[in-house]
Amino acid sequence: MLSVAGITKSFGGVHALAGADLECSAGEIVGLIGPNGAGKSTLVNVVTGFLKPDAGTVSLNGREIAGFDPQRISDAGIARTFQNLRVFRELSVRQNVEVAFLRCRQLRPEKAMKVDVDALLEEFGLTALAETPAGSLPYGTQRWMEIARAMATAPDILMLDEPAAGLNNEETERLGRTITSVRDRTSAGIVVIDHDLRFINSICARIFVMDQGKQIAVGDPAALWKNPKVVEVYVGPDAAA
Amino acid sequence: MSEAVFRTSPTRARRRPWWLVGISGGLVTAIPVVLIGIAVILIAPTYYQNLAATAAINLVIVVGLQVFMGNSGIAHLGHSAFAGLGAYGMAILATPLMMKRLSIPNAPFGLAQVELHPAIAVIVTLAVVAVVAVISGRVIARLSGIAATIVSLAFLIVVHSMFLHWPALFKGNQGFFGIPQVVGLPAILACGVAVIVIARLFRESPNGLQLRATAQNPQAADALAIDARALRRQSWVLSALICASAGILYALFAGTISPRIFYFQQVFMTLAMLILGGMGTVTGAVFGTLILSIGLEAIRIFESGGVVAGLTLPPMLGLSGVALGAVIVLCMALRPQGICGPKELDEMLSGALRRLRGTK
Ligand SMILES: Nc1ncnc2c1ncn2[C@@H]1O[C@H](COP(=O)(O)OP(=O)(O)OP(=O)(O)O)[C@@H](O)[C@H]1O
Ligand SMILES: [Mg+2]
Repeated sequence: MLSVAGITKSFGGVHALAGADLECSAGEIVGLIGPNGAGKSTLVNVVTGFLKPDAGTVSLNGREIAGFDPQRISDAGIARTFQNLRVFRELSVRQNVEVAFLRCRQLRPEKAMKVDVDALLEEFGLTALAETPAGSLPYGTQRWMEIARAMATAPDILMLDEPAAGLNNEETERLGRTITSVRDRTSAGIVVIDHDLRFINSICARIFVMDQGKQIAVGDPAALWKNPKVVEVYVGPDAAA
Repeated sequence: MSEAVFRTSPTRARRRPWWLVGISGGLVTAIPVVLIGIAVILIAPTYYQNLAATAAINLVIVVGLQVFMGNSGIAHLGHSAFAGLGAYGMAILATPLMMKRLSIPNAPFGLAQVELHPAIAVIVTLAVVAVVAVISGRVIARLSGIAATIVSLAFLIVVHSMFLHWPALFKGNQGFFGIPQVVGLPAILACGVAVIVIARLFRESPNGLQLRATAQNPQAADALAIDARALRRQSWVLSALICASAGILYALFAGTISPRIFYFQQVFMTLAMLILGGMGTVTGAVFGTLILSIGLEAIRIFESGGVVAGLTLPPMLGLSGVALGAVIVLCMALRPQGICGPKELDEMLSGALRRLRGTK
């Protein structure tokens, strides 16, 4: 289980995170939403070690990991995708996924036994594109590949930063089904950031809402949208009043 | 946690393990080298035999350079230092005592009294180079790209200065002569083939693939827990050993060496060869070396002037230097991935084969 509490992070004068919290249990799909600039990506970067928090705690399965570097955190069992895609452009799709698996096999051989690169490619609809250089794929396909690559590390927690960005309705639905089935298959905890609220509502049991660097509400989809604070952020102060 | 149940996909059975891809791919890539080499051995006059031997030694250096530069994406300017260390290792360890009394009578560490069998000398030399490479690799691996390149250049200069200014051991500016000439073109070619296969094996290995990933996207590699520093260290040491082998071959072929052989001229020539062919692949290293070796020889004819195709040409000294510079600049500007592109020869061939079958 991932549990994040009281994270603060400033860039110069900008308080990107001002006491942010997040929680995700094994087998749970958690949503993380909030307006642009709320600090969602910054929170992912802190949790995965790409940024050092100014204060706060990050614990994974009871072990404190705040401030570790990205390699150690990945080794500890948190995988991620990037809002601005980061693929190995000249490697083939298969190699992109395989390289993650090979590293996992070196570090955690017992977990890597549960990973099958070909099956992952199949699951994410990439089998036909396996030999294509990743850099020549359309944006949306690169996103799918990044998720498959992250899953090839056999993570306990998977953090997806806007996986549905740029996908059409049909693709978004398929993505939702795939994420759910990945969860069922591996019992990984999955944190999904997105602006597509219908998508978030359809797959998440619990949603964290952030604004201005901290959590303003948390709950299941049905309850959450009755919360005036959430309505205020999403629809505007007039509607909440 | 639930056990995963997977379908077997049809492509799986046909995929070969990485070491098989490395060996077979490396051998395919080496075919042009072997063919040209055999032709030269069988029919060419001595002058061209020697030329081919030098080219084959350069090939070993370029392949060694590719192992680090091509996989890590970090420019390396110090590879000739390792070639020099290899050559001087042989000079110091394998030269007959009689000769050594003339050249380095006051060698430190009792080395003036040492004369090893060339084969033993090779092993000792490679061991020493490995130690130097492990130490320098620790420094290089923790630096970012440009800083690492500058340090590799500094390493070249340090080693060169050592050759020049420690005459008791390296005989300084003058040539070190009398090294047993026990290696000929066939042996050099065999080493060339071997290092091509080794370089290709590294490229295809799990660690080689990870290192290539770090070059293409360091953050994504970090997020997969890939240890870029450790991989850079590994490839630096392997690259150093291959470059040192080239120096060893040179010493055992030529019998005479001097510090300036392993300096800027060689650094830039081998760099131009790799850039011309394409640093991403071993194929690029091989073809870049072949093409530029032949090209530079043609240019040398112009350089010395004389009559070419009925025209009387004046001598144009320095033309080959200009050509090397032009190759680097033009490649960087027009085709940064080199003339061979991103694929290895065997991959291109099997792709072409598949397309042929597809169109039938
Ligand atoms: N490296 C940085 N340097 C300076 N400011 C930053 C940096 N990264 C983020 N910020 C600022 O921190 C705030 C939070 O940004 P963040 O990217 O986390 O938001 P977000 O919730 O992911 O937004 P979006 O939905 O647009 O992706 C923003 O005001 C942003 O400008
Ligand atoms: Mg964001």
